[in-house]
Amino acid sequence: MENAIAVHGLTKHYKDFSLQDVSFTVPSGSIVGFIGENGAGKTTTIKAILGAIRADGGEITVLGQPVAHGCSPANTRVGAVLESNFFSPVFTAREISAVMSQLCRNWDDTLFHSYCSRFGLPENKPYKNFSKGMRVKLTIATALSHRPELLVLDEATSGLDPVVRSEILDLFQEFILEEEHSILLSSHITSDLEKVADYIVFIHEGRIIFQLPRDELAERFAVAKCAVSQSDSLAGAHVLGRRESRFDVELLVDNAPQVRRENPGLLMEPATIDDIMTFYVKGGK
Amino acid sequence: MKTHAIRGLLLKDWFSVRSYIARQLGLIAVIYLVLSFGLKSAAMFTSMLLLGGMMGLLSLFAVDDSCQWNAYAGILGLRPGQLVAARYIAVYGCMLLLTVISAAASVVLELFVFRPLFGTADAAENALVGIATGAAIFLFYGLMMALDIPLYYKLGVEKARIPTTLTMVVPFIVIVTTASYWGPLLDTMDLAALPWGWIFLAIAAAFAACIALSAAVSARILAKKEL
Repeated sequence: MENAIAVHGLTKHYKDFSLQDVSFTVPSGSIVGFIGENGAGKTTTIKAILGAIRADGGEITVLGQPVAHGCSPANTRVGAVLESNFFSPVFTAREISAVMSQLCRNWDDTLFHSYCSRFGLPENKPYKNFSKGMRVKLTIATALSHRPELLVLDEATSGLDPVVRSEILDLFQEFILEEEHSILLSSHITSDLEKVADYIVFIHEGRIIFQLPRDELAERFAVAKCAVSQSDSLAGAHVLGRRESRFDVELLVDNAPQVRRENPGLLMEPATIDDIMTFYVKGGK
Repeated sequence: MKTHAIRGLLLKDWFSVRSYIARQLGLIAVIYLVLSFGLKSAAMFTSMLLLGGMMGLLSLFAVDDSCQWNAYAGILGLRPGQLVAARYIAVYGCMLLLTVISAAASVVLELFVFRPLFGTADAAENALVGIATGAAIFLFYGLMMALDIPLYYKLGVEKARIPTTLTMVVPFIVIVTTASYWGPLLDTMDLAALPWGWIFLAIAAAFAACIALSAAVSARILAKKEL
């Protein structure tokens, strides 16, 4: 199987927002970072992938099987971590395991206990008494313990301190070591994606702006700094966004090698994912 | 490994509300048991125990809403029909269990506590009245839930608050305002001569049909709903 997820021409219309012709893939064996500002359409796209909403158009396949609203045969092979915890806060880890073992064919009780032990999660304590980090770990442990082939995570690491985030990112990298395992990870914390993602998909106002390998992103995108007077005459620059201050201007370009070549001496810095998002969203061409 | 979806969903419901229901029932039991000794009658105790337990079942829907459980269940590959079936089993199973418990409590209190303690002459009749009251509450509340559950699935617990309140208030008002008409009508009838066996059977069949229809509507609503 080439792609764990393939989204083609997905559209979904709400009164005040639309997903328009959203297309991207999550290649098998990779981690794909899904970025975009609040309200860009990340969660709606993820819900459509999981079959929780009805798409108005387009096609989605997950692990080679077509997705339809309320009927996603591949879902037993997908682990999902969304913003909610799904279980009532009075549940203990042990009770979650007892319920999940009845609901999921592949539930691995031993694996779940080993995750709880590794994360230091007390199994007999209602999780309402857990810290935010512990709750997220519990949700991830639950998602991983039915041995999914694909993990779909929506803002799983937001609001967590760097130590916990680092632990969770390590876990994702362990998960991906297994052949054919894949992850779609939506996050605002772009530094996390710079660490682990193989590809970045950027969505803005319901449209996909690009899907690129992370390395290519680092090669192609750069922020050029120059005087305002110089900014309109930069040779060969393909400018995607600009940010002006009183004394100079910063330009986001997506053909950095060519701009460097044709403008020797121009001050250029590699663009971070944050830079790319900010220039696109706020930087006005 | 084979899954047992209904069993798992019932277990989930039990873990979700057991402490809440236990607290609520415990409190009701203490208050109304004390009152029933004052009144020398178990009727109030058994009725309130039943009502309190049934009201507690509503929190199942509130918990699911706040945890977005139905969305997650869909992601796990569970079908709307399974979710609805488990919920109806939980609600009506609990109601039936509470009715049996309240009937047993009525018999025990009237015959083995109040009769020896207060020398109640009509203890056996009181016990029967307690059982009949429990059955009537089960029937009334069961029909009300058959109307309310689809509304919970359609609107969510918060938005369904007003329409579900109406499903309780409207029949109550109808019964109270029309009592002067059907009360005398009952007096003119020879109740003992009625074919009670058939009447009970017809009521049970109509009740079961209402629940089955309600479950089918709920499953359809859940299948169409975007979560």
